[in-house]
Amino acid sequence: MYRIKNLEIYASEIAEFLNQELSGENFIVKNPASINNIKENSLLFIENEKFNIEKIAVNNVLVISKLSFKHKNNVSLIISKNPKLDFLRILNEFFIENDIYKISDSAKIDSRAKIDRNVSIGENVVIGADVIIKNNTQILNNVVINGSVEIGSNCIIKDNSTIGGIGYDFETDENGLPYYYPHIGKIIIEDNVWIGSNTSIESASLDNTIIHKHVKIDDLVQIGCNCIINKSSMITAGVIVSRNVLIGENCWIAPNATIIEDIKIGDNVTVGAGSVVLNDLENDSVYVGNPAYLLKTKK
Amino acid sequence: MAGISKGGIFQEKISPFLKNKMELLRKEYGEDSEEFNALYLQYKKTDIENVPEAENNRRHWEADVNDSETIIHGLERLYNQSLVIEPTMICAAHCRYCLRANYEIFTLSEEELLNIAKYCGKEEFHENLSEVLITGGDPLIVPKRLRYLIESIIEHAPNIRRIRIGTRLPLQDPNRIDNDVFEIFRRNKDKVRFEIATQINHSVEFFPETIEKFSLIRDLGVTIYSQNVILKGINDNINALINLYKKMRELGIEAHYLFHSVPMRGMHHFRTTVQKGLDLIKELTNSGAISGRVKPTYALMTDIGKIILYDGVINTKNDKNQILLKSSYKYEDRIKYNPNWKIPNTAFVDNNGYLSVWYLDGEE
Repeated sequence: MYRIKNLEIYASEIAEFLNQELSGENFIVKNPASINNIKENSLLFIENEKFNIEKIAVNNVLVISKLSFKHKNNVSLIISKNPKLDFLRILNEFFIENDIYKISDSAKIDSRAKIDRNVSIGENVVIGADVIIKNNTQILNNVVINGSVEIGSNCIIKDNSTIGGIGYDFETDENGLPYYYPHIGKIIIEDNVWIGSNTSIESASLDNTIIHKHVKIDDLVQIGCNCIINKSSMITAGVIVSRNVLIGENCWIAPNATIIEDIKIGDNVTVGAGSVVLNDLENDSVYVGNPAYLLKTKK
Repeated sequence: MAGISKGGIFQEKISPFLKNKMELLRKEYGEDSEEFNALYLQYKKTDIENVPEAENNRRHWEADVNDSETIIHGLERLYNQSLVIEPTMICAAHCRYCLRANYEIFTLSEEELLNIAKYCGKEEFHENLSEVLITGGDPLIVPKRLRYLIESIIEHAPNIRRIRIGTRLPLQDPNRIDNDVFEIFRRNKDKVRFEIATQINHSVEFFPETIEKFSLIRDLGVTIYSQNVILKGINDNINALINLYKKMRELGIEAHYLFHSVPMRGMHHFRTTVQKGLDLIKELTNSGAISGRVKPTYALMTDIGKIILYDGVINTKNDKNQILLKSSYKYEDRIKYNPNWKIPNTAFVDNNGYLSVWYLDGEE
């Protein structure tokens, strides 16, 4: 978890960290703030070009902004191409303290699991024998990781998630009864992946499930077996991804969307909230509805 | 260890912590006291810095590293076994006698730091390069970026087994020595040996908050040593030095170099003569006043690197107040590990291949 630090830092230092010039007075900055609640000696970012700087009534406010403005005595300015990103960089580097890494006593880790350096493991976590977890990954509380699973560096697996649970897969036998298909494939989660709370990534059947680098999966998401999710895609809360689905790079799957099995979604696709995807989706497009239809293309 | 602002002026910067301590010292001891001035003079910008003097150098050496393909920003190599990495040039406060006052201020991105880590691990360096000095600027001021650099070095440069970190943050703003800093050592001490290189010039700088943070760092298995500098009006008397080194001994901080103040622009008023430094080091170390475990080595930071004044090193002195120093650095060695290195105007190669250098003396 993250905590705010009690810090006093010169405005010039913030500019220097960003390799930018400071315009205005060099006062002490004590905390980050939002434009809705501006405080004295604070740092904030402005993206809204219509924001009226004259409305800032308190002293010593450092603003990161895309546009230059005639600043008043109480406001100093750092120009940035991406004010929010630079604000977040400052927040993370100077004002936020992270939890210290540790492995909880209550965690149950099979002695055959390979846990790399500086991996944090929370309370009541269960890690099976055939699991590999690489550097600096954080496994929060009550997570279960079982079966053949490889998790890369700098990942975050949030509370109560299940990775590699027994897969849901049955074939009907001669008597019309469901016959279980044991899943023995591997789940590969690459570096810098985020997996939200109460999310389940089902074990793969024979081939692999692959979550590529920088994919961010929100809370309460179901990822079925043998799915491939490509780099930097965002899967938001409540999404259901059935088995054998391929999602391209830089996609945005909005809350509560459902994608049925064996679907291919191209790169840079947006799927609207609550959509039900029954057919393959083309690159660079926005789809909405049930069943999902093409709303517009992005290029 | 700071840099200049883009306006070309070495700005005054005093952390709120130091401002508060100065005020307390002023109230307790008075404005003319050694205690107050030992702190005040180190940080207060004065017009004396702008008076033209013989000291004209803007940098104390030039040893930037040029890779075959790219110029690597924030990297210097003056010695065979170690590289100097500067992840940021920001400091919590600006020491007025800073060696790097004239460096441009910058902070390296994670991508740039990763490139440096990979550079450190190049196959050709595996035999000789085993140590990096991370300085700046003050690297502890950006602890998350520092951690990224260190963990990248551990991953990509297994030949690096010792990491030294140059910092005055425990003296200048100890509040910023927090869990993010401790975590760097805690997480990685099994992979590399950490050493903190600090600089303490007067015993008055041992504030309770400073002592606490040094102690917490040392508890994590980090060696702390201090390389100090003789500064006129601050510590150029034997009692000040004895008190300083006794306190260091008490706190488990090891002594390293005691430097003669470097001849750089704006530092004239801080510089004693080399001879005065010799007299002080003799009295400090040959009198039984301090423990042998905390005796510093008197050194001159010349244009070709550090030189210790052993017998025969001082050759002659000219009418420009310059002393000729005969070093044991070999030119052919220097260009072998940094082909980019150029002999400065003040130095030459003698008949045996060794470098000699002229060093501007200070004044009484």
